[in-house]
Amino acid sequence: MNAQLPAPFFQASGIVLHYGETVALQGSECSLERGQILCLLGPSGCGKTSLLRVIAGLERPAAGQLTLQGQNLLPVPTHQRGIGLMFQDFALFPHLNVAENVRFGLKMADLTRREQEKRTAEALTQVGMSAFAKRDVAHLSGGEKQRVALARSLAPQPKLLLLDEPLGSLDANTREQLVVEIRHLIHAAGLAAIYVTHDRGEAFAIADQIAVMNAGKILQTDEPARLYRAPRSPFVARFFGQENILAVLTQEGDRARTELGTFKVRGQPNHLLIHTDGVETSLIPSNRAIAGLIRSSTYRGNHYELRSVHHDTVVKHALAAHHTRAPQVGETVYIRIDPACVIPLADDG
Amino acid sequence: MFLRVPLFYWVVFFLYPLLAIVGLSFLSEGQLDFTAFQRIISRAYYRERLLFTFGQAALSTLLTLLLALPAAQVMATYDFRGKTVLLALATLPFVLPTVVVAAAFKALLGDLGLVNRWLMHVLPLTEHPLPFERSLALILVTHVFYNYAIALHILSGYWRTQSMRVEEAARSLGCSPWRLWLQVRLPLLRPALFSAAALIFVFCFTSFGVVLLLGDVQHATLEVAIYRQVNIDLPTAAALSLTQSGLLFLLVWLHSRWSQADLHTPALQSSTSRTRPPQNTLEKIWLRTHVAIATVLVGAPLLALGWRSLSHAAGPLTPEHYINLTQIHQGSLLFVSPLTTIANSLRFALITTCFAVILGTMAAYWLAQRRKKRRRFPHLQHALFMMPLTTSAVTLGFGFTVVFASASTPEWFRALRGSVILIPILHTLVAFPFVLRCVYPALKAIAPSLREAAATLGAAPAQRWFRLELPLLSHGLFIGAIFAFVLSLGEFGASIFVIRPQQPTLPIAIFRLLSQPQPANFGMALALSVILLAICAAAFASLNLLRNSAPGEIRW
Amino acid sequence: MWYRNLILFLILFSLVPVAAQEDGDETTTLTLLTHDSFDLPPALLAEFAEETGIELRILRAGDTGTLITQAILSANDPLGDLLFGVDNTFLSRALAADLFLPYVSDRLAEIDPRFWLEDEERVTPIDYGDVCLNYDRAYFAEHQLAIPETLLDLTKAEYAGLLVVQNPATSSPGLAFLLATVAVFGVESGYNYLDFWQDLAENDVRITEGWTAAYFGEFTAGSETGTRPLVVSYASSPPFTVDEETGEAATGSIVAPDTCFRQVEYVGILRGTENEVQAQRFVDFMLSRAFQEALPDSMYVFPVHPGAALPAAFSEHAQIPAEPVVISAAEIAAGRQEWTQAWLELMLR
Repeated sequence: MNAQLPAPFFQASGIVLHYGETVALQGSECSLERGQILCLLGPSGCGKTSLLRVIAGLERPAAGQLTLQGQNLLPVPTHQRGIGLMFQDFALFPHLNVAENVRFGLKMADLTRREQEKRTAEALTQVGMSAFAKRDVAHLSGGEKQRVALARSLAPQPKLLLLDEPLGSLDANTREQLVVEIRHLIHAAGLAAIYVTHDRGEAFAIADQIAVMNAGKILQTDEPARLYRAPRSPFVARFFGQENILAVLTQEGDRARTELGTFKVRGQPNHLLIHTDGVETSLIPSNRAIAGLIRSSTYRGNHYELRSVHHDTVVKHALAAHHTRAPQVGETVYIRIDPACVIPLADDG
Repeated sequence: MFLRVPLFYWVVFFLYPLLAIVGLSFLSEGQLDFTAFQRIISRAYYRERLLFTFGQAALSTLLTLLLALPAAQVMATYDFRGKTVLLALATLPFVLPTVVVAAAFKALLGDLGLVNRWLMHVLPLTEHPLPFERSLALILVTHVFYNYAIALHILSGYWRTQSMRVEEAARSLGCSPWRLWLQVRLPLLRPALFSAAALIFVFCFTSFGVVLLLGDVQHATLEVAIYRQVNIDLPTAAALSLTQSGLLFLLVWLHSRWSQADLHTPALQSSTSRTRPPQNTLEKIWLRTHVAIATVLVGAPLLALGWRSLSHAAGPLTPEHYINLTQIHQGSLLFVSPLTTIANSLRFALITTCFAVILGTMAAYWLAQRRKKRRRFPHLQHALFMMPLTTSAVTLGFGFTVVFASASTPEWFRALRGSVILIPILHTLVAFPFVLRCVYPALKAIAPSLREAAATLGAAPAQRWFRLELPLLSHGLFIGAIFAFVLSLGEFGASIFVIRPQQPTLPIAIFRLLSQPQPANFGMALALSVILLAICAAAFASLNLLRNSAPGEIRW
Repeated sequence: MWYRNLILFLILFSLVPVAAQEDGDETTTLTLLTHDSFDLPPALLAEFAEETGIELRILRAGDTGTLITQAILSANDPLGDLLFGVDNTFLSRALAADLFLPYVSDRLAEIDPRFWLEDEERVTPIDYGDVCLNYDRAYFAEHQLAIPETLLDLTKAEYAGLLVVQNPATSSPGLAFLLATVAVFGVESGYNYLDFWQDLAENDVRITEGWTAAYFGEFTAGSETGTRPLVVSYASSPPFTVDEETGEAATGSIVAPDTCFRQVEYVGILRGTENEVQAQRFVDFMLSRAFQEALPDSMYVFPVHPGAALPAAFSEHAQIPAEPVVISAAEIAAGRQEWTQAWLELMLR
C-alpha cells in the first residue's frame, strides 16, 4: 500500500532508544514534508530531545527506521547526515568569534574561501547580526547568541533543521519576538524543520504540524488548530489546558451518559471532553442551564477563569470580563454546554 | 585501551621501582630480612639524620614565617609603588632550579662569594671574613629564599579575605599594636599559617640539592643520606628511602587535611577594598623595612650570581667564564664542553615535554571517560597519577637505580639504562601530572553539546578534535608544556642517580663544577647557572604572552 | 595553529634518538671510562692515534667510588670500552660484578712482579701510589710544630683542627686511608679503628667528598682559602709543589711505617665492548714506556714499569714509604662495606 503513496520527505518510524535501564523512546513515529515545520511538543522528559538526537545521529536507536529523501539515515554518521541542529544552550564555540562560528560548517563542507565568506555574511545579515561579526561570543546577550546559533545552523543549508528548545533560555518578550522571526526565516529558506519545545504557545506560533509526545511516544500529530480543537486523548487535552474531562458512565446507542448529563457521541469513547470554549457561562439563571457553585475565580485580563461544581463535577469555564461584575466564590453560576464542543476521547496510549 | 597508556607508564616507571625499593628493604635472597631496618633503627647516625631533617625543616619554616608574616601584612594592607613588581619578583625563586639557587647563594655568601670578596677588598683582609660556606646558616637562608614567596602568597591572600573591621573594632576596644598581632591577627590567620607552614615544611623536608651543595658533609638530610648510602650498600639505602617516603606521605596527607579543613571555611568577607597608602611615618618605616627585606632577600643572590659570573673578584667585569664554557680542557672535569650540557638539557627537556603532553592529555581523556561512565574511584585514579609529585626526587631516581641493579629486572627495562630517553622518562614522571592538572579542568569544561554541534555542522571526528577540542585545550596544554619543560630543565635530585656521564645535564654540570674548589670551575658553574636561569625565565615569560591573548572561555 | 607546533615537536622528538646515535661510537674510537683525576698529555694520545688509528675518548664519571657504581649499574650496556682507575680498594667490588673481560698483555712480563695479581686475568696494573699524609712545610715551621709520626699522633691536642680527610664512600684515597687505620688499629682490639676515628672527630677533623675538594679546597698549601695544613694525599704529591726558584717543595709527605696505604690502579676491558681488540691495544699502550713515563707528571702516581724513568722532581721530592700498611685484597673484599658503613655512621653525624 505504502508503495503507491509518495514517500514523505522525512520519516522516522518505530524508534526505540534505551539509556541503560531507562526507556527514552518506545516506537516513536513522525514525518514531514519539505518546507514544513514540525513541532515536537511535550512535557520535559517525554523523549522529544532524545528523538531529535536520534535524528541528528547523536544517539543510536535500538530499533526503528529513519529516512530522508528516501535514503536510510541510520548508517550515516552525524557529520555526513546534512542535518542541522540548534542547541538549547546554543553551543557556540568559545574559541571562535561570531563570524568564525557561522563559518565553521561551511569550512567543514570544503567550500571555497569566497563562498564561505559570502554565505557567512548572508547568514549574519539574515539574522541581523552583521555588525557583530568580529565579536567574541562570550560577550553576547542571550538573544544575540540565539541569532548566531541560528545563523550557524542555517549557513550550511541543511536538508533538515532541528531546533532543540532554541528559545528555552530567553525571557518571554524576546521569545515572542524571535519565534515569529524563526518561522519566517525557516520558511524563507524553504527548509524542513523539527522544532522541540514544551511551550504550547510557542508551538502554535511556529508549527505547521504539532506532534504531542509523552513517555517516549507520539500521541497525536495534527495541525495546531485541529489539535487544539479536537484532541484525541485525555493527555493531549490536558496538555492544551483542558480540564473538563468526564468519564462515560453508560452508553446506549450514540447517547453517552455522564455526571453532567447525556451527550450524543460517535463511537464508543471512555471519556468526553467538554471544551472550555464550548461552555456558555452566566450569572443569571436561564433555560436548560445547569446551576453550580463557584469554587474559585481568577481574573485573566479579558475574562474570569472560573471553576464551579455541578453535580459533584468541577467544571472549568470562562466568563467574559467586559460586561460583568466580578463573580464571587460561593455564588451560583449557570452553564450551558454546546453539543458541538463535546469531543469523544480515546484512552491514553 | 589506547588511553590506558599513562596508567601502564605509571605502573612500570613509578610503581615498579617503588615496589623494587620495598622489596630491597625487606627481602634478601627471597627471604624476609629486617637487617636493613634494624640497622637504621639501632644506629645513632640514622636517628640524627632524621632529627637533622626535621630540625632544619622546622627552623627553615619558622624563619620563613617570621619574615613573611609581617611582609604579608604589608602586602595585604598597603598600596605602594612597585608592589606588583615586587610580588612578581618574589615569585621568581619558586620556579628556579635548586642548583641555580645554590650557586647564587655561593656567589653571594660563599668563601669566593661577592660579600667576602668585597669585604676582603675593602677592609682589607687576606682571608674571607664570613664563614658561611658549608654552614647550616647558608642552608637555612636558602630555604627561606625559596619559601618566602609561598608564605607571602598564602598569607597575604588569606589576609585579604579577612575583614578590616575586625581589626578596627579591636583597636576601638583599646587593643595595642602588640596585642593586635597576638590576639587578633594571628588567631584569624591560623588556618593560613598552618597551611603555609605544612607546605614549607614538606619542601624543606625533601631538600636535597641545596643541602648537598651548600652543606658540610655532616649536614645530611635523609635525602642526602640515601644518596651517600647508594655507594656503599643498597638495602640500607632502600630502607632509608622507604622511611623517608613514608614520612613524606604522612606529611603531605596532614597538609592536605589541614588546608582542606581550614582554608575552605568561609572567612569574613570584606566588602570594601582594604589596601591603602601608609598613613603616618611609623607605617612608612614599617612598609619600607619589609619592602627592603623582600628586595634584598630575593634580589641579592640573583644579582650576586650575575655579577660573579662576570668577574673574578672585586676586579673588572669579564666574559671569561662564559668563554671557558665553550672549551673542553684536557684536565677539565666534564667530558664534554659545558655548552654541550645546555644542548643535552634542552633536548631532554624537549622530549620530556612531548612525553608529558601526550601522556598528560591521554590521562585527562581517560579520567574524563571514566568519570562519564561513572566508574568507581575517579578521585583515586587522579590521586595515583599525582603521586610522583609527592614522592621525593631522590626516591624516584633511586628506584630506577634499584631496578637497574636487580637481577630480576626484565631485559627491555635494563636496556633503557643506555638509552637517551631514560632521563626524559624519569622527568616525565613528574612532568605529566602537571600537564594532567592543566588539561583535565579544561577538558571537563568542554560542554558535550559543543562536540555535537561540531558534528552536526559536518565535522568528522578528527576535525572535531583538531578544530574544537585542541584549541580549547591548547591553553592548558601550553601551560602544562611550559611547566614540563622547565621541570625537566631544572631537575636534579632524580637525574643524578641515573645520568650517563657522557651526557650530563645543565644542573648536573653545575653541581659537579660547584663541588670543585678551583675558582675557574666556580666561575663556569655560575655562568652555566645564569644561562639556565635565563632559559627558565624566558619559558615562564612566554606564559604571560598567552595570558594577554584571547583565550575564549577557558581561563587558568 | 597550535597543533602544527605539536607535530613539529613530534618530528623533532623522532629525530632526537637518531641524532643521538650519530654522535655515538665510530669503529676507530675507544671510550675510556675513568675517574675525575685522570689526566694525560694530549701529545701522548695523539701519538697513540697516529700509531694505531684509534681515537681515545675520555669519560670522567666522578670519584672512584662513583665510577665503580656507575660501571656496575650499567654493566649490561657499558658506558665505555675500558675502565681505568679501579684500585685495590675497590677491585673486589668490580670483580664481583664481573665487569671485565680477561686479557693478559704480552708486556705484563716487563713490569715489577710485585704488582702481578695471582689467578686474575681480568685487570692489568698500570700505576701505584702511596696514600700518605701530606703536610704544609711552611705552616709547621711557622708554628714550630713537630711532624706527626704515627696515625695515633693525629689525635693529640696540638694537631686539633689541622687535618682534612676524604669520605671513603666516594673517594679512593679516603677509602685507602680508612683501610690504613683498619690495618693499624684493627677491628676487634681494645682501641679499634672506630675509637681512633672517634678521637679524630673530637680533634676536629674535616671531611670532604673527594680528593680535589680536600687538596685544592682545604689544604693550606693547595688553596688560597685553605685552613688545614695536614691532608690525606699521595706520597707523590710533594713534587708538584716545588718552587721553581728555590727548588724546595712546599709540602712533604709522612712516610713513617704504618701510616701509608699502597694503592695500585688497574685497567680492565669492559664486558660488552664492541672493540675488544682495539681495547687490548690500548692496554698494551698503557704498559709502554712512553705512557708509563708520562704518569708521574700527569697523575701524581708511580709507574709499575721498573724501567720507566722518573722526572727529576719526582726522584728528588717524592718519597716512597718503605713499609706501607699491608691488608690483603681478600680482607678488603670481606670488610670494606662494613667498615665504610660504620665509618659513615660514626663520622657524618
